[in-house]
Amino acid sequence: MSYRVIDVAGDIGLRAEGRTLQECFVNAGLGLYSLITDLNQIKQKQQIEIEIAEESIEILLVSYLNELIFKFDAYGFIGNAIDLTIERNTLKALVYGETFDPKKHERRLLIKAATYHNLIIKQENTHWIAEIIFDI
Amino acid sequence: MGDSMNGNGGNWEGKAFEDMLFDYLDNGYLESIITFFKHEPEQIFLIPKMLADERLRVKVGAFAIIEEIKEKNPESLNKIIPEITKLLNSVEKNIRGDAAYALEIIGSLEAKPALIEALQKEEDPQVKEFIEDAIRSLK
Repeated sequence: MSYRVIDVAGDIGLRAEGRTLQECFVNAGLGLYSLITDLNQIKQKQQIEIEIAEESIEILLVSYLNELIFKFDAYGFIGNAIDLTIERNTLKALVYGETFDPKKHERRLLIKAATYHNLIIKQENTHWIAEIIFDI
Repeated sequence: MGDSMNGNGGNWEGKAFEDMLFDYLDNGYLESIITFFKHEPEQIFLIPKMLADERLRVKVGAFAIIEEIKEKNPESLNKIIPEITKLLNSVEKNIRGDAAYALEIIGSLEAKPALIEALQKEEDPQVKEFIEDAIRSLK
């Protein structure tokens, strides 16, 4: 598990890492889902596709996480596995999961949005690191 | 135009006044109507009626007025969110789509539950897209 919650006054943040940019994005997405519920309780009954093109990798990260939040808000979709590619700032992802059911799934935080506040995405030695703060 | 409006006796109420205002919008006096709303902000309650109007210029005028108010006094737009969300249930798909777009411009989280409910019921793919865009925009 290459993500962890970071302490931010009033809001919640995540630090995700990966050996590649793709892995870092996958871990950021899974980290986001782990803020919403327990990933172990999710069954992979459905899959959704996401495709996003943005001008920079920072915008791409925020848009991608906000799209996951949107799919949860609008359709109740929650995932626990993500296949993802990034080429020329275009992200294509397949997310595996199911519709959130409060009777089956633990309800953790209500995440409103991924933000640009203190956003970090950088390569350090052989790793990619992302830090992102969410509005809750 | 200001003189004509004053001809209403300074009483900015009633169906005749609404008709006159909407006719002005339909006739292209958008700037004058925007100025009117700056001076008469309590008339903001007319905006949902404009969105439900069948005339394109009146609807477009409503969007422009919302954008203008959002720049100057965004909190005041919260007052009309309940009336606009009612339009998401209109039998006219154009009105449902326009209501979603108006809520996207307003950008208040207050509209989110109504938009999500509308999305679950909506069958028209184009209106669905408008509603999805509105939900995405709410922060």
